[in-house]
Amino acid sequence: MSEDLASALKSFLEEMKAMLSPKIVFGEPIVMEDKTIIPVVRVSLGVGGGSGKGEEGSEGCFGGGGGGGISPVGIIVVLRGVPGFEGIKIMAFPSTLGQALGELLPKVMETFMTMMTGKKPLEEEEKKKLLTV
Amino acid sequence: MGEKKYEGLPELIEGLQNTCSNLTAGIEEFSQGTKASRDEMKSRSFLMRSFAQKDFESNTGMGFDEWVEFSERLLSRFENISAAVQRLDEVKLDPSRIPSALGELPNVAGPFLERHDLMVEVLDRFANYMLDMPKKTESIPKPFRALMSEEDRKRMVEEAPKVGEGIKRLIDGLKTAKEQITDLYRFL
Repeated sequence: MSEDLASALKSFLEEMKAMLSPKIVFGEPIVMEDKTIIPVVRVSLGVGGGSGKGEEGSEGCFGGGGGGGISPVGIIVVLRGVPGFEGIKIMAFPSTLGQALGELLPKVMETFMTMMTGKKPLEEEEKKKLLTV
Repeated sequence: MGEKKYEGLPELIEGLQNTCSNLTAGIEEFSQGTKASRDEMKSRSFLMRSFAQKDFESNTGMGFDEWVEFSERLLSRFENISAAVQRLDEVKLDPSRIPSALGELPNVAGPFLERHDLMVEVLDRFANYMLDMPKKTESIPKPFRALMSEEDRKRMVEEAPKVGEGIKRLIDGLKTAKEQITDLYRFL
């Protein structure tokens, strides 16, 4: 494999890695009679690559590989008919409890708002225009 | 000959002065109201705050801090436009000095004219959000609705529509300003 191709493949894999860095993702809400359950998972992708020169006269080689992982973080339960804080349960798995609490709530709200209204904030480019009036 | 060329200019200047004066007052009020809402939001519980902030941003297009920044910039823009129109007013009877005073206008009004349509669109989203608040209050999921005080609920139903009407008037003012400034350009 040529050095150029190896380099191109490596940068492609790096871009993929950047795109799919570890993050929290919400599953489809499961609506039940008395509650709605929203699964929460952490998605990550590991990418590795390497290249080497063979003996003089032989072609070098490049190897690349990627692996994705999904690990459950917890679930959010909204109980129907139970008012106040009692109606919302965030059940995080013990090992990720602290981290999950910090990361989850704003995302949960966003998910709810999109579900309820279907409206989204302005694009960054539009905001920039308005903030430079 | 000079007088003929600038026929109608004094009236146009006067109209734009009135519009700018009304607009700066309206934008200042809007800015103060947005700041007050932002500050009040900080005193809310984490859960209620998260819900309200996301709801506000999704519906109006921007968060509280961004609206405050936008309104302050818009106010500053109209203060500059007002000052340019004031200078024009001072020389309106001297045709030899009009071109130079008139020439300042595109610099100060350009950013407003370029963003006018987007501003109107996003302010309209804000206005409609406030006007729809009474209906929306009823559509908030019950677990979240129970977190609101009676005072909040009353304000959302009674006060929010008035704010919405105020923003609609602000939009009308911006449209008028655009027309008048564009009209002034014909004297350039």
